[in-house]
Amino acid sequence: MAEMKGALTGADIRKMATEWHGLDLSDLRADQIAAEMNTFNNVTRAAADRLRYDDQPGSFAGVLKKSARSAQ
Amino acid sequence: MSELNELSLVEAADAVRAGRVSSVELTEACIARIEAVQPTINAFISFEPEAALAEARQRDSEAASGNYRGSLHGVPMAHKDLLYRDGKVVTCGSKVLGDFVADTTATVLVRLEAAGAINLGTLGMAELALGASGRNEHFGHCRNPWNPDHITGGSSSGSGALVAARGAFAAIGTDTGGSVRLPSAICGITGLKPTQTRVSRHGIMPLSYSLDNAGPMARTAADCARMMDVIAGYDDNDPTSSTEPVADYEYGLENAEIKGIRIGVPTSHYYDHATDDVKAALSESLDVLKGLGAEIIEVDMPDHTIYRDLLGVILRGEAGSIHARWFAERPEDYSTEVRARIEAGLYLPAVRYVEAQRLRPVLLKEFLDTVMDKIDVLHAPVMASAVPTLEETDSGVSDDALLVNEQLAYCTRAASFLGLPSLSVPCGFADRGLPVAFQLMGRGFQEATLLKIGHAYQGATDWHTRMPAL
Repeated sequence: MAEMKGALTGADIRKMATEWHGLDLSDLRADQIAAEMNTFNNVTRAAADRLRYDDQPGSFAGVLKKSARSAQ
Repeated sequence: MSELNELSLVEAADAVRAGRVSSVELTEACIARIEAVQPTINAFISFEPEAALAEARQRDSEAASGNYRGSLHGVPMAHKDLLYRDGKVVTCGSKVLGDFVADTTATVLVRLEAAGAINLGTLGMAELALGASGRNEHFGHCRNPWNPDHITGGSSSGSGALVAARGAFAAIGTDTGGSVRLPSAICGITGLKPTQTRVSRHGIMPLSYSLDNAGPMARTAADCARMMDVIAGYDDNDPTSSTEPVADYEYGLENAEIKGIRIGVPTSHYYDHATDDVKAALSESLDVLKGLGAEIIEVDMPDHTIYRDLLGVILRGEAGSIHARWFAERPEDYSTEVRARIEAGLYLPAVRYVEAQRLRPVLLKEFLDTVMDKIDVLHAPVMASAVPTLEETDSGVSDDALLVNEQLAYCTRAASFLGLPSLSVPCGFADRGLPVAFQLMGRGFQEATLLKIGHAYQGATDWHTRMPAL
Protein backbone atom coordinates (compact mmCIF):
# COMPACT_ATOMS: atom_id res chain seq x y z
CA MET A 1 0.00 0.00 0.00
CA ALA A 2 1.37 3.43 -0.91
CA GLU A 3 1.96 5.88 1.91
CA MET A 4 -0.37 8.84 1.71
CA LYS A 5 1.35 12.09 0.77
CA GLY A 6 1.22 14.81 3.39
CA ALA A 7 0.97 12.41 6.31
CA LEU A 8 0.04 13.91 9.66
CA THR A 9 2.87 14.89 11.98
CA GLY A 10 2.98 15.19 15.73
CA ALA A 11 2.88 18.96 15.32
CA ASP A 12 -0.37 18.66 13.34
CA ILE A 13 -1.92 16.54 16.08
CA ARG A 14 -0.79 18.92 18.82
CA LYS A 15 -2.38 21.82 16.94
CA MET A 16 -5.65 19.93 16.51
CA ALA A 17 -5.61 18.85 20.15
CA THR A 18 -5.41 22.45 21.29
CA GLU A 19 -7.75 24.02 18.76
CA TRP A 20 -10.41 21.31 18.54
CA HIS A 21 -10.47 19.77 21.99
CA GLY A 22 -8.63 22.10 24.38
CA LEU A 23 -6.05 19.37 25.11
CA ASP A 24 -2.36 19.75 25.75
CA LEU A 25 -0.43 16.76 24.39
CA SER A 26 3.21 15.89 24.95
CA ASP A 27 5.44 15.70 21.87
CA LEU A 28 5.82 11.95 22.34
CA ARG A 29 2.09 11.31 22.62
CA ALA A 30 1.34 13.55 19.65
CA ASP A 31 3.88 11.65 17.54
CA GLN A 32 2.31 8.32 18.59
CA ILE A 33 -1.17 9.51 17.67
CA ALA A 34 0.06 10.84 14.34
CA ALA A 35 1.55 7.44 13.53
CA GLU A 36 -1.69 5.70 14.50
CA MET A 37 -3.77 8.15 12.47
CA ASN A 38 -1.59 7.72 9.40
CA THR A 39 -2.05 3.94 9.61
CA PHE A 40 -5.82 4.30 9.89
CA ASN A 41 -5.86 6.76 7.02
CA ASN A 42 -3.81 4.53 4.75
CA VAL A 43 -5.65 1.31 5.55
CA THR A 44 -9.12 2.77 5.25
CA ARG A 45 -8.29 4.74 2.14
CA ALA A 46 -6.92 1.65 0.42
CA ALA A 47 -9.85 -0.53 1.45
CA ALA A 48 -12.30 2.11 0.29
CA ASP A 49 -11.40 1.19 -3.29
CA ARG A 50 -13.92 -1.60 -2.82
CA LEU A 51 -16.77 0.82 -2.21
CA ARG A 52 -19.35 1.71 -4.87
CA TYR A 53 -21.37 4.85 -5.34
CA ASP A 54 -24.63 2.92 -5.13
CA ASP A 55 -24.07 1.46 -1.65
CA GLN A 56 -27.34 1.55 0.21
CA PRO A 57 -27.69 3.04 3.68
CA GLY A 58 -28.41 0.47 6.34
CA SER A 59 -27.04 -2.33 4.20
CA PHE A 60 -25.06 -3.87 7.07
CA ALA A 61 -28.26 -4.82 8.87
CA GLY A 62 -29.65 -6.04 5.55
CA VAL A 63 -26.71 -8.33 4.88
CA LEU A 64 -26.96 -9.76 8.41
CA LYS A 65 -30.65 -10.50 7.92
CA LYS A 66 -30.09 -12.05 4.51
CA SER A 67 -27.43 -14.32 5.98
CA ALA A 68 -29.98 -15.61 8.48
CA ARG A 69 -32.37 -16.44 5.64
CA SER A 70 -29.68 -18.30 3.72
CA ALA A 71 -29.20 -20.64 6.67
CA GLN A 72 -32.83 -21.74 6.69
CA MET B 1 -18.55 -25.03 48.92
CA SER B 2 -22.13 -26.25 48.92
CA GLU B 3 -23.34 -28.78 46.37
CA LEU B 4 -25.82 -26.10 45.34
CA ASN B 5 -22.96 -24.02 43.91
CA GLU B 6 -22.12 -26.87 41.58
CA LEU B 7 -25.49 -26.76 39.84
CA SER B 8 -25.79 -25.19 36.42
CA LEU B 9 -28.21 -22.29 35.98
CA VAL B 10 -30.78 -24.58 34.35
CA GLU B 11 -30.44 -27.14 37.14
CA ALA B 12 -30.74 -24.46 39.83
CA ALA B 13 -33.77 -22.81 38.23
CA ASP B 14 -35.49 -26.14 37.66
CA ALA B 15 -34.81 -27.16 41.28
CA VAL B 16 -36.50 -23.98 42.52
CA ARG B 17 -39.43 -24.55 40.17
CA ALA B 18 -39.82 -28.14 41.43
CA GLY B 19 -39.63 -27.02 45.06
CA ARG B 20 -36.46 -29.04 45.72
CA VAL B 21 -34.55 -25.98 46.83
CA SER B 22 -35.50 -22.47 47.86
CA SER B 23 -34.21 -19.26 46.38
CA VAL B 24 -32.91 -18.29 49.83
CA GLU B 25 -30.86 -21.50 49.96
CA LEU B 26 -29.37 -20.82 46.52
CA THR B 27 -28.63 -17.22 47.43
CA GLU B 28 -27.06 -18.14 50.77
CA ALA B 29 -24.86 -20.68 49.00
CA CYS B 30 -23.71 -18.01 46.52
CA ILE B 31 -23.08 -15.47 49.29
CA ALA B 32 -20.99 -17.95 51.27
CA ARG B 33 -19.02 -18.84 48.16
CA ILE B 34 -18.47 -15.18 47.26
CA GLU B 35 -17.23 -14.39 50.77
CA ALA B 36 -14.75 -17.24 50.41
CA VAL B 37 -13.42 -16.38 46.93
CA GLN B 38 -13.73 -12.59 46.64
CA PRO B 39 -10.45 -11.90 48.48
CA THR B 40 -8.68 -14.01 45.85
CA ILE B 41 -10.47 -13.19 42.61
CA ASN B 42 -11.72 -9.61 43.30
CA ALA B 43 -14.77 -10.15 41.09
CA PHE B 44 -17.10 -7.59 42.67
CA ILE B 45 -17.24 -3.84 42.56
CA SER B 46 -20.39 -3.76 44.69
CA PHE B 47 -21.53 -6.86 46.57
CA GLU B 48 -25.07 -6.57 48.00
CA PRO B 49 -25.85 -9.73 50.00
CA GLU B 50 -28.67 -8.26 52.12
CA ALA B 51 -30.53 -6.93 49.08
CA ALA B 52 -30.08 -10.26 47.34
CA LEU B 53 -31.45 -12.16 50.32
CA ALA B 54 -34.45 -9.82 50.49
CA GLU B 55 -35.14 -10.53 46.81
CA ALA B 56 -34.74 -14.26 47.44
CA ARG B 57 -37.23 -14.20 50.31
CA GLN B 58 -39.65 -12.38 48.01
CA ARG B 59 -39.20 -15.02 45.30
CA ASP B 60 -39.81 -17.81 47.81
CA SER B 61 -42.92 -16.06 49.03
CA GLU B 62 -44.15 -15.78 45.45
CA ALA B 63 -43.34 -19.43 44.83
CA ALA B 64 -45.26 -20.47 47.94
CA SER B 65 -48.31 -18.86 46.33
CA GLY B 66 -47.66 -20.70 43.08
CA ASN B 67 -46.50 -17.51 41.42
CA TYR B 68 -43.35 -18.15 39.44
CA ARG B 69 -42.12 -15.15 37.51
CA GLY B 70 -40.41 -17.09 34.75
CA SER B 71 -37.65 -19.48 33.77
CA LEU B 72 -35.04 -17.85 36.05
CA HIS B 73 -37.19 -17.65 39.16
CA GLY B 74 -35.03 -17.44 42.27
CA VAL B 75 -31.63 -17.79 40.58
CA PRO B 76 -28.84 -15.48 41.83
CA MET B 77 -26.72 -13.66 39.27
CA ALA B 78 -24.44 -10.64 39.14
CA HIS B 79 -23.58 -8.46 36.18
CA LYS B 80 -20.86 -6.29 34.72
CA ASP B 81 -20.88 -2.83 36.25
CA LEU B 82 -21.93 -1.02 33.11
CA LEU B 83 -25.59 -2.03 33.14
CA TYR B 84 -27.68 0.80 34.46
CA ARG B 85 -29.97 0.32 37.44
CA ASP B 86 -32.23 3.28 38.22
CA GLY B 87 -30.87 5.25 41.17
CA LYS B 88 -27.64 3.24 41.48
CA VAL B 89 -24.04 4.22 40.78
CA VAL B 90 -22.67 2.57 37.63
CA THR B 91 -18.89 2.92 37.48
CA CYS B 92 -18.13 1.20 34.19
CA GLY B 93 -14.94 0.19 35.98
CA SER B 94 -13.75 3.77 35.75
CA LYS B 95 -12.87 6.75 37.86
CA VAL B 96 -14.39 9.16 35.38
CA LEU B 97 -17.84 7.61 35.88
CA GLY B 98 -17.24 6.78 39.52
CA ASP B 99 -20.15 8.93 40.71
CA PHE B 100 -22.51 8.41 37.78
CA VAL B 101 -26.02 7.55 38.97
CA ALA B 102 -28.28 5.88 36.40
CA ASP B 103 -31.77 7.24 35.80
CA THR B 104 -33.03 4.16 33.98
CA THR B 105 -32.60 0.39 34.19
CA ALA B 106 -31.04 -1.64 31.39
CA THR B 107 -33.60 -3.63 29.42
CA VAL B 108 -31.46 -6.73 29.89
CA LEU B 109 -31.76 -6.38 33.68
CA VAL B 110 -35.48 -5.63 33.48
CA ARG B 111 -36.03 -8.79 31.45
CA LEU B 112 -33.87 -11.01 33.67
CA GLU B 113 -35.63 -9.83 36.79
CA ALA B 114 -39.06 -10.17 35.18
CA ALA B 115 -38.06 -13.81 34.63
CA GLY B 116 -37.24 -14.09 38.34
CA ALA B 117 -33.46 -13.63 38.52
CA ILE B 118 -31.88 -12.24 41.69
CA ASN B 119 -29.12 -9.64 41.72
CA LEU B 120 -26.05 -10.16 43.91
CA GLY B 121 -24.30 -6.93 42.91
CA THR B 122 -22.09 -5.44 40.25
CA LEU B 123 -18.96 -6.98 38.82
CA GLY B 124 -15.50 -5.78 37.99
CA MET B 125 -14.45 -5.07 34.45
CA ALA B 126 -11.75 -3.44 32.40
CA GLU B 127 -11.93 0.34 32.66
CA LEU B 128 -14.70 1.58 30.34
CA ALA B 129 -14.96 -1.94 28.84
CA LEU B 130 -11.72 -1.32 27.01
CA GLY B 131 -9.09 -3.97 27.50
CA ALA B 132 -8.85 -7.63 26.54
CA SER B 133 -6.73 -8.49 29.58
CA GLY B 134 -9.37 -7.27 32.03
CA ARG B 135 -6.84 -5.22 34.00
CA ASN B 136 -8.23 -2.38 36.09
CA GLU B 137 -6.00 0.16 37.79
CA HIS B 138 -8.89 1.85 39.65
CA PHE B 139 -10.64 -1.09 41.32
CA GLY B 140 -7.82 -3.64 41.28
CA HIS B 141 -7.49 -6.43 38.77
CA CYS B 142 -9.88 -9.36 38.80
CA ARG B 143 -7.88 -12.56 39.11
CA ASN B 144 -8.26 -15.86 37.37
CA PRO B 145 -9.85 -18.46 39.68
CA TRP B 146 -7.73 -21.20 38.09
CA ASN B 147 -4.53 -19.33 38.91
CA PRO B 148 -4.73 -15.86 40.48
CA ASP B 149 -1.40 -14.81 38.99
CA HIS B 150 -3.05 -14.83 35.59
CA ILE B 151 -5.49 -12.53 33.84
CA THR B 152 -9.19 -13.35 33.61
CA GLY B 153 -9.47 -11.86 30.16
CA GLY B 154 -11.69 -8.87 29.60
CA SER B 155 -13.36 -6.69 29.50
CA SER B 156 -16.07 -8.68 31.37
CA SER B 157 -13.46 -9.87 33.84
CA GLY B 158 -15.57 -10.10 37.01
CA SER B 159 -18.31 -11.92 35.12
CA GLY B 160 -15.88 -14.59 33.96
CA ALA B 161 -14.14 -14.97 37.32
CA LEU B 162 -17.29 -15.13 39.45
CA VAL B 163 -19.21 -17.64 37.32
CA ALA B 164 -16.14 -19.85 37.02
CA ALA B 165 -15.62 -19.70 40.80
CA ARG B 166 -19.25 -20.79 41.30
CA GLY B 167 -20.22 -17.56 43.07
CA ALA B 168 -23.20 -16.98 40.75
CA PHE B 169 -25.08 -19.07 38.23
CA ALA B 170 -24.66 -16.60 35.38
CA ALA B 171 -23.65 -13.07 34.51
CA ILE B 172 -24.20 -10.62 31.72
CA GLY B 173 -21.10 -9.40 29.95
CA THR B 174 -20.65 -7.09 27.01
CA ASP B 175 -18.56 -7.70 23.93
CA THR B 176 -17.16 -5.07 21.55
CA GLY B 177 -14.08 -6.91 20.33
CA GLY B 178 -14.14 -10.12 22.38
CA SER B 179 -15.14 -9.07 25.88
CA VAL B 180 -17.66 -11.86 26.52
CA ARG B 181 -15.74 -14.59 24.73
CA LEU B 182 -12.25 -13.92 26.13
CA PRO B 183 -13.10 -14.03 29.86
CA SER B 184 -15.44 -16.95 29.22
CA ALA B 185 -12.65 -18.85 27.49
CA ILE B 186 -9.88 -17.90 29.88
CA CYS B 187 -11.98 -18.66 32.98
CA GLY B 188 -13.43 -21.91 31.58
CA ILE B 189 -17.12 -21.04 31.20
CA THR B 190 -19.50 -20.72 28.26
CA GLY B 191 -20.28 -17.32 26.77
CA LEU B 192 -22.22 -16.00 23.80
CA LYS B 193 -21.67 -12.83 21.82
CA PRO B 194 -24.97 -12.51 19.99
CA THR B 195 -25.49 -11.11 16.51
CA GLN B 196 -25.20 -7.32 16.41
CA THR B 197 -28.61 -5.87 17.46
CA ARG B 198 -30.01 -9.22 18.70
CA VAL B 199 -30.01 -8.06 22.34
CA SER B 200 -31.12 -4.61 23.49
CA ARG B 201 -28.41 -2.20 24.58
CA HIS B 202 -30.75 0.23 26.29
CA GLY B 203 -29.25 1.22 29.62
CA ILE B 204 -25.77 -0.10 28.90
CA MET B 205 -22.86 2.33 29.03
CA PRO B 206 -21.61 2.49 25.43
CA LEU B 207 -18.06 2.00 24.26
CA SER B 208 -18.90 1.78 20.55
CA TYR B 209 -22.48 2.18 19.33
CA SER B 210 -21.82 0.05 16.26
CA LEU B 211 -19.93 -2.79 17.91
CA ASP B 212 -21.28 -3.25 21.46
CA ASN B 213 -23.27 -6.37 22.36
CA ALA B 214 -24.58 -7.78 25.63
CA GLY B 215 -24.47 -11.53 26.07
CA PRO B 216 -24.80 -14.34 28.61
CA MET B 217 -21.88 -15.90 30.46
CA ALA B 218 -22.73 -19.12 32.29
CA ARG B 219 -21.54 -22.66 32.80
CA THR B 220 -23.19 -24.37 29.86
CA ALA B 221 -24.62 -23.72 26.42
CA ALA B 222 -28.03 -24.69 27.82
CA ASP B 223 -27.66 -21.98 30.47
CA CYS B 224 -26.85 -19.44 27.77
CA ALA B 225 -29.87 -20.64 25.75
CA ARG B 226 -32.18 -20.06 28.70
CA MET B 227 -30.70 -16.59 29.24
CA MET B 228 -31.10 -15.75 25.55
CA ASP B 229 -34.74 -16.81 25.65
CA VAL B 230 -35.20 -14.06 28.22
CA ILE B 231 -33.00 -11.22 26.92
CA ALA B 232 -33.12 -11.49 23.11
CA GLY B 233 -35.53 -9.59 20.92
CA TYR B 234 -36.67 -6.15 19.89
CA ASP B 235 -36.87 -3.44 22.53
CA ASP B 236 -38.81 -0.19 22.08
CA ASN B 237 -36.18 1.53 24.21
CA ASP B 238 -33.43 0.53 21.77
CA PRO B 239 -34.57 1.34 18.23
CA THR B 240 -31.36 -0.24 16.90
CA SER B 241 -32.42 -3.64 18.25
CA SER B 242 -33.49 -6.08 15.56
CA THR B 243 -37.05 -7.08 14.77
CA GLU B 244 -35.77 -10.36 13.34
CA PRO B 245 -37.78 -13.27 14.80
CA VAL B 246 -36.29 -14.76 17.97
CA ALA B 247 -35.71 -18.51 18.09
CA ASP B 248 -36.78 -20.66 21.04
CA TYR B 249 -33.19 -21.31 22.01
CA GLU B 250 -33.67 -23.77 24.84
CA TYR B 251 -36.34 -25.75 23.03
CA GLY B 252 -33.90 -26.01 20.13
CA LEU B 253 -31.53 -28.00 22.33
CA GLU B 254 -33.92 -30.88 22.91
CA ASN B 255 -32.68 -33.94 21.08
CA ALA B 256 -29.91 -31.77 19.68
CA GLU B 257 -28.78 -33.52 16.51
CA ILE B 258 -25.71 -32.20 14.78
CA LYS B 259 -25.33 -34.99 12.24
CA GLY B 260 -24.44 -33.47 8.89
CA ILE B 261 -23.69 -30.03 10.27
CA ARG B 262 -20.77 -28.53 8.34
CA ILE B 263 -18.07 -27.21 10.66
CA GLY B 264 -15.39 -25.10 9.05
CA VAL B 265 -11.77 -25.11 10.20
CA PRO B 266 -9.77 -22.05 9.14
CA THR B 267 -6.59 -22.63 7.15
CA SER B 268 -5.10 -19.27 8.14
CA HIS B 269 -5.11 -16.50 10.75
CA TYR B 270 -6.67 -18.19 13.78
CA TYR B 271 -3.77 -20.53 14.54
CA ASP B 272 -0.99 -17.99 13.81
CA HIS B 273 0.04 -17.73 17.48
CA ALA B 274 -1.33 -21.06 18.68
CA THR B 275 0.51 -23.05 21.30
CA ASP B 276 0.75 -26.83 20.96
CA ASP B 277 -1.69 -27.18 23.88
CA VAL B 278 -4.29 -25.06 22.17
CA LYS B 279 -3.84 -26.88 18.87
CA ALA B 280 -4.24 -30.23 20.62
CA ALA B 281 -7.34 -29.19 22.57
CA LEU B 282 -9.00 -27.71 19.50
CA SER B 283 -8.14 -30.78 17.43
CA GLU B 284 -9.62 -33.07 20.08
CA SER B 285 -12.78 -30.98 20.16
CA LEU B 286 -13.12 -31.41 16.41
CA ASP B 287 -12.76 -35.17 16.85
CA VAL B 288 -15.64 -35.09 19.35
CA LEU B 289 -17.81 -33.05 17.01
CA LYS B 290 -16.95 -35.37 14.13
CA GLY B 291 -17.89 -38.31 16.31
CA LEU B 292 -21.27 -36.68 16.86
CA GLY B 293 -21.83 -36.64 13.12
CA ALA B 294 -20.53 -33.23 12.07
CA GLU B 295 -18.69 -32.84 8.81
CA ILE B 296 -15.34 -31.08 9.18
CA ILE B 297 -14.31 -28.89 6.24
CA GLU B 298 -11.16 -26.80 5.84
CA VAL B 299 -11.90 -23.27 4.65
CA ASP B 300 -9.61 -20.50 3.45
CA MET B 301 -9.94 -17.19 5.24
CA PRO B 302 -10.01 -13.73 3.72
CA ASP B 303 -7.55 -11.14 5.06
CA HIS B 304 -8.43 -10.55 8.72
CA THR B 305 -6.07 -7.61 9.34
CA ILE B 306 -8.56 -5.35 7.60
CA TYR B 307 -11.23 -6.33 10.16
CA ARG B 308 -8.88 -5.38 12.99
CA ASP B 309 -7.97 -2.05 11.42
CA LEU B 310 -11.49 -1.01 10.48
CA LEU B 311 -12.82 -2.11 13.87
CA GLY B 312 -10.13 0.15 15.31
CA VAL B 313 -11.34 3.08 13.21
CA ILE B 314 -14.99 2.62 14.20
CA LEU B 315 -14.26 1.98 17.87
CA ARG B 316 -11.92 4.93 18.25
CA GLY B 317 -14.23 7.30 16.40
CA GLU B 318 -17.22 6.37 18.53
CA ALA B 319 -15.39 6.05 21.85
CA GLY B 320 -13.54 9.29 21.13
CA SER B 321 -16.85 11.06 20.65
CA ILE B 322 -18.21 9.67 23.92
CA HIS B 323 -15.14 10.64 25.94
CA ALA B 324 -13.96 13.87 24.25
CA ARG B 325 -15.47 16.18 26.82
CA TRP B 326 -14.14 14.22 29.80
CA PHE B 327 -10.68 14.00 28.22
CA ALA B 328 -10.58 17.78 28.30
CA GLU B 329 -12.15 18.24 31.71
CA ARG B 330 -10.83 15.27 33.70
CA PRO B 331 -7.86 13.74 31.86
CA GLU B 332 -6.32 12.53 35.12
CA ASP B 333 -9.34 10.28 35.72
CA TYR B 334 -8.33 7.95 32.87
CA SER B 335 -5.57 5.37 33.11
CA THR B 336 -2.78 6.10 30.66
CA GLU B 337 -3.43 2.90 28.72
CA VAL B 338 -7.16 3.44 28.28
CA ARG B 339 -6.75 7.04 27.28
CA ALA B 340 -4.10 6.07 24.76
CA ARG B 341 -6.42 3.52 23.18
CA ILE B 342 -9.29 5.95 22.68
CA GLU B 343 -7.48 9.22 22.10
CA ALA B 344 -6.70 8.84 18.39
CA GLY B 345 -10.44 8.93 17.72
CA LEU B 346 -10.39 12.65 18.44
CA TYR B 347 -8.38 13.27 15.28
CA LEU B 348 -10.04 10.79 12.94
CA PRO B 349 -11.40 12.36 9.72
CA ALA B 350 -15.16 11.85 9.39
CA VAL B 351 -14.65 10.49 5.89
CA ARG B 352 -12.46 7.64 7.18
CA TYR B 353 -14.99 6.74 9.87
CA VAL B 354 -17.82 6.65 7.33
CA GLU B 355 -15.70 4.64 4.90
CA ALA B 356 -15.06 2.08 7.62
CA GLN B 357 -18.78 1.86 8.28
CA ARG B 358 -19.57 1.52 4.57
CA LEU B 359 -16.95 -1.21 4.22
CA ARG B 360 -18.58 -3.29 6.95
CA PRO B 361 -21.41 -4.73 4.82
CA VAL B 362 -19.07 -5.16 1.84
CA LEU B 363 -16.63 -7.24 3.90
CA LEU B 364 -19.44 -9.10 5.67
CA LYS B 365 -20.93 -10.12 2.34
CA GLU B 366 -17.50 -11.23 1.14
CA PHE B 367 -17.04 -13.32 4.30
CA LEU B 368 -20.48 -14.88 3.95
CA ASP B 369 -19.92 -15.66 0.26
CA THR B 370 -16.41 -17.05 0.56
CA VAL B 371 -16.48 -18.70 4.00
CA MET B 372 -19.96 -19.24 5.38
CA ASP B 373 -21.38 -20.38 2.04
CA LYS B 374 -19.44 -23.64 2.40
CA ILE B 375 -20.17 -24.29 6.08
CA ASP B 376 -22.74 -23.84 8.84
CA VAL B 377 -20.32 -22.65 11.53
CA LEU B 378 -16.66 -21.75 11.81
CA HIS B 379 -14.68 -23.46 14.58
CA ALA B 380 -11.57 -21.65 15.85
CA PRO B 381 -9.68 -20.82 19.04
CA VAL B 382 -10.97 -17.96 21.17
CA MET B 383 -7.41 -17.30 22.23
CA ALA B 384 -4.61 -19.24 20.61
CA SER B 385 -1.64 -18.03 22.64
CA ALA B 386 -0.92 -18.94 26.26
CA VAL B 387 -2.89 -17.07 28.93
CA PRO B 388 -0.50 -14.42 30.26
CA THR B 389 0.08 -13.49 33.87
CA LEU B 390 -1.11 -10.09 35.08
CA GLU B 391 2.53 -9.02 35.16
CA GLU B 392 3.04 -9.99 31.54
CA THR B 393 0.21 -7.62 30.54
CA ASP B 394 1.56 -4.70 32.60
CA SER B 395 3.28 -2.22 30.30
CA GLY B 396 5.01 -0.73 33.33
CA VAL B 397 6.72 -4.05 34.05
CA SER B 398 7.01 -5.93 30.77
CA ASP B 399 8.41 -4.55 27.51
CA ASP B 400 6.32 -7.14 25.66
CA ALA B 401 3.03 -6.12 27.31
CA LEU B 402 1.81 -4.13 24.31
CA LEU B 403 2.28 -7.09 21.99
CA VAL B 404 0.80 -9.55 24.50
CA ASN B 405 -2.30 -7.38 24.97
CA GLU B 406 -2.66 -6.86 21.23
CA GLN B 407 -2.63 -10.62 20.63
CA LEU B 408 -5.34 -11.39 23.19
CA ALA B 409 -8.17 -10.40 20.85
CA TYR B 410 -6.47 -11.69 17.70
CA CYS B 411 -9.13 -14.37 17.18
CA THR B 412 -12.21 -12.51 18.42
CA ARG B 413 -12.26 -9.26 16.45
CA ALA B 414 -13.56 -10.75 13.19
CA ALA B 415 -16.95 -11.73 14.62
CA SER B 416 -17.20 -8.30 16.23
CA PHE B 417 -16.44 -6.36 13.09
CA LEU B 418 -18.68 -8.61 10.99
CA GLY B 419 -21.50 -8.51 13.57
CA LEU B 420 -21.79 -12.30 13.61
CA PRO B 421 -22.69 -14.42 16.63
CA SER B 422 -19.96 -16.39 18.36
CA LEU B 423 -20.14 -18.92 21.19
CA SER B 424 -17.15 -19.67 23.41
CA VAL B 425 -17.05 -23.28 24.68
CA PRO B 426 -14.44 -24.70 27.11
CA CYS B 427 -12.53 -27.64 25.62
CA GLY B 428 -9.49 -28.42 27.77
CA PHE B 429 -6.54 -27.01 29.67
CA ALA B 430 -3.12 -25.73 28.70
CA ASP B 431 0.19 -26.25 30.44
CA ARG B 432 -0.25 -23.35 32.85
CA GLY B 433 -3.38 -25.09 34.13
CA LEU B 434 -5.60 -22.53 32.48
CA PRO B 435 -8.64 -23.29 30.35
CA VAL B 436 -8.73 -23.47 26.56
CA ALA B 437 -11.86 -22.82 24.50
CA PHE B 438 -13.07 -22.96 20.95
CA GLN B 439 -15.49 -20.51 19.44
CA LEU B 440 -18.25 -21.28 16.98
CA MET B 441 -19.04 -18.42 14.66
CA GLY B 442 -22.28 -18.51 12.66
CA ARG B 443 -24.34 -16.53 10.19
CA GLY B 444 -26.40 -13.60 11.40
CA PHE B 445 -29.11 -14.50 13.95
CA GLN B 446 -28.05 -18.17 14.00
CA GLU B 447 -27.39 -18.28 17.75
CA ALA B 448 -29.64 -21.34 17.99
CA THR B 449 -27.30 -23.32 15.74
CA LEU B 450 -24.26 -22.37 17.81
CA LEU B 451 -26.01 -23.25 21.07
CA LYS B 452 -27.19 -26.58 19.67
CA ILE B 453 -23.66 -27.59 18.66
CA GLY B 454 -22.24 -26.34 21.96
CA HIS B 455 -24.88 -28.30 23.86
CA ALA B 456 -24.20 -31.47 21.89
CA TYR B 457 -20.46 -31.07 22.55
CA GLN B 458 -21.05 -30.56 26.28
CA GLY B 459 -23.25 -33.65 26.30
CA ALA B 460 -20.24 -35.65 25.15
CA THR B 461 -17.53 -33.97 27.27
CA ASP B 462 -17.10 -32.71 30.83
CA TRP B 463 -14.79 -29.68 30.46
CA HIS B 464 -17.66 -27.34 31.39
CA THR B 465 -18.14 -29.15 34.71
CA ARG B 466 -14.52 -28.69 35.87
CA MET B 467 -14.15 -26.30 38.80
CA PRO B 468 -11.14 -24.33 39.97
CA ALA B 469 -9.69 -25.49 43.31
CA LEU B 470 -10.19 -22.26 45.22
